[in-house]
Amino acid sequence: MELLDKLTILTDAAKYDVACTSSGGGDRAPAGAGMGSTADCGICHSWSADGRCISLLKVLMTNRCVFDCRYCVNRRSNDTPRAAFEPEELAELTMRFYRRNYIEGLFLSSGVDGSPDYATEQMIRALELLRGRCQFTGYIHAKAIPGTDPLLIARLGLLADRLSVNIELPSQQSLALLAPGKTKKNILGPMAGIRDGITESRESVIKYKKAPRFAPAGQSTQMIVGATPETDFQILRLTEGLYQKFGLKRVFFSAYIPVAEDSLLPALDTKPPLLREHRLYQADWLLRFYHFSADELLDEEHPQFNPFLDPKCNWALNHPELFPLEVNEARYELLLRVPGVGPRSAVRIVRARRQGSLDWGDLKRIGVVLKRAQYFLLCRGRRPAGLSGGWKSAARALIDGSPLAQTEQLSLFGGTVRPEQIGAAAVECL
Amino acid sequence: MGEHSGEAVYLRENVTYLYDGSFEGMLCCIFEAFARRERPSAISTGEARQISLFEERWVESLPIRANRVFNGLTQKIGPGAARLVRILYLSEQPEKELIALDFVRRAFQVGRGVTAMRGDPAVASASSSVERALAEAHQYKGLLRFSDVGGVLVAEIEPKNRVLPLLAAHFCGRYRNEAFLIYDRVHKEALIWQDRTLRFEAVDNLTLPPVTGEEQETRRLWRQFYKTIAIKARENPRCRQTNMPKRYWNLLTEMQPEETEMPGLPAVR
Repeated sequence: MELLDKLTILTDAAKYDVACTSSGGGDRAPAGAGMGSTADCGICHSWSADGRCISLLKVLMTNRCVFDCRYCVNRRSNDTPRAAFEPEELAELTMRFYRRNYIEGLFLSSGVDGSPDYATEQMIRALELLRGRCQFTGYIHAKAIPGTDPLLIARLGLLADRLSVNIELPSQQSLALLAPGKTKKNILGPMAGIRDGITESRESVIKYKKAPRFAPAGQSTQMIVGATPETDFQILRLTEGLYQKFGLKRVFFSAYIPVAEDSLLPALDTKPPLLREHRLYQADWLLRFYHFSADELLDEEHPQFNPFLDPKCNWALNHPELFPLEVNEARYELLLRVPGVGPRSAVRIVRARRQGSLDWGDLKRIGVVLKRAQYFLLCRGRRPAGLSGGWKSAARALIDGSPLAQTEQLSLFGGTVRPEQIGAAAVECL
Repeated sequence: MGEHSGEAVYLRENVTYLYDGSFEGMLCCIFEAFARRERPSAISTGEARQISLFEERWVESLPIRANRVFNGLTQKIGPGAARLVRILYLSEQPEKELIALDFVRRAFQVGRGVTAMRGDPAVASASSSVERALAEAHQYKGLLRFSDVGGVLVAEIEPKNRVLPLLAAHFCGRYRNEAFLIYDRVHKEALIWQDRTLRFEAVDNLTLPPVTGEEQETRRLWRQFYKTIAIKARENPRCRQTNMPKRYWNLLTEMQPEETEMPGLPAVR
């Protein structure tokens, strides 16, 4: 088979994997032989027609698979062309792309061809060629396949910057229903193993600098949203638990895109729940960078996100007792909770106010989004000039105006809500 | 911070400076303005010169003076402030010289804390120009494309800011054992890395030989990957364009149509 055809099949089979980030590996540019470096913030090299960032060459080693997970394009029962890379072939292709600055590195996953151990061994062979013969020192993200011998995962982790185990679906029941080959236990087992490998390696790197590094860019996971009945609250709680118990760097969500006609799954003409995915990412950001906890954002009575407001605005509007905050006095953690203030502007505020008290002009120049923040802040005890209206007008002003939100919000209400009525609907959702 | 602190100093404004366009020259203009208690109405290079009603004065580039300004900034204010002025010089910001002057003046009024005063008008306008230049450099770390031309890697870019010096450490570290050239079409400069040595050169024009079969095939594979990785059901051209503005497209391999013959690099817009 031609390389071009293989690449097409094995890219097509890998495209539903979400993670394409190349971050967290530290800023490393080894001095010696070889090629490649990592940038801690990650680098995007392109954006595909769906607007997603392309950072890594994301392919499968093979799309042959013994599993028959119902939501997956590569399931055994699916009639689709199959291919496999030779380890040499993949290593060489990666280098050709990397040398031209097309990519930041490789994201390698695999179907389970034969057994998890065999599939992992093939991946290891390709990565050993890359790290060895090609002396590649760029970014590698490798997928750990549930059911693989821990010793093989240990080898994989020494070759990769990041490892991930897909949790696939947000609950044990859904897993049992749709992925009969996988269980919570054989997914969380390797996750815990990788966590321990990372901790151990970090400790030994402190003791002696040249100790081998095990997945220095940490571990991530992903789950499919919208194929099964879990609520946003359940998903967010699970996410929070994964960060706390397994020290994950990232949890990725993937809006389910129907790939199979199946009575257990949404119909083939179902649109992927992109707004829901978007809200989950916003909330995920709040967990990781804004010191929020899952049960501050949602609870048993409000288990789904407000379609009209982002989770932070929604939270703020539900806590009128905390606002307005005096910008020259409020703690960093509280500033972070103000809509329109992000970690960057919160840090800038805290640094700048040590040099003198801040007014509204200063805030604007600092980069605070006043359109949102003005309802929640005071500068030297004063509201911004010309601000009128109460809490309800704040809610109207904070409505998520992104085209994604608008179209999906309208369709949620069966097309009966006119754009100008969204304001009233948003207030009712609070 | 909203109002300016410090004693009011009368600064003469009815003068304009001309300089040679170099970083040293810009620092000398700052020196001149301090020495003569002036805040010129414009500081421009020979090319960008505008008709002025005021006295025009040529400011000579003298390394001693430039060093005094730069070292003074580094020692009295901090390396962060010196770096800010250096990058401001590389930015495309109109009137960057005056912005630099206002920033340096503010810096010597306030002292070490100045870079933290992100809300101060003088600091904010210097910082935001610098942030834009750094953001463009970061974009190019991803969006720059090399072609293999007889074993040497060649890339062309069309940046608004003079990003080459901001890209050097990244690319020289990454491709440490390669020979490569990055050509800035707008500012007509090239970054050259050869035998583990870095140099910058003014280059008027770059013509390249046709690409080889291996280069051609790699581009084809990359375009195919690019096309295949997109998910149809999620198509979102607006989101793509926000992240990857159109001005980058004509130098991106994946945004070019399939090559029928064997041209060199993608043509100039």
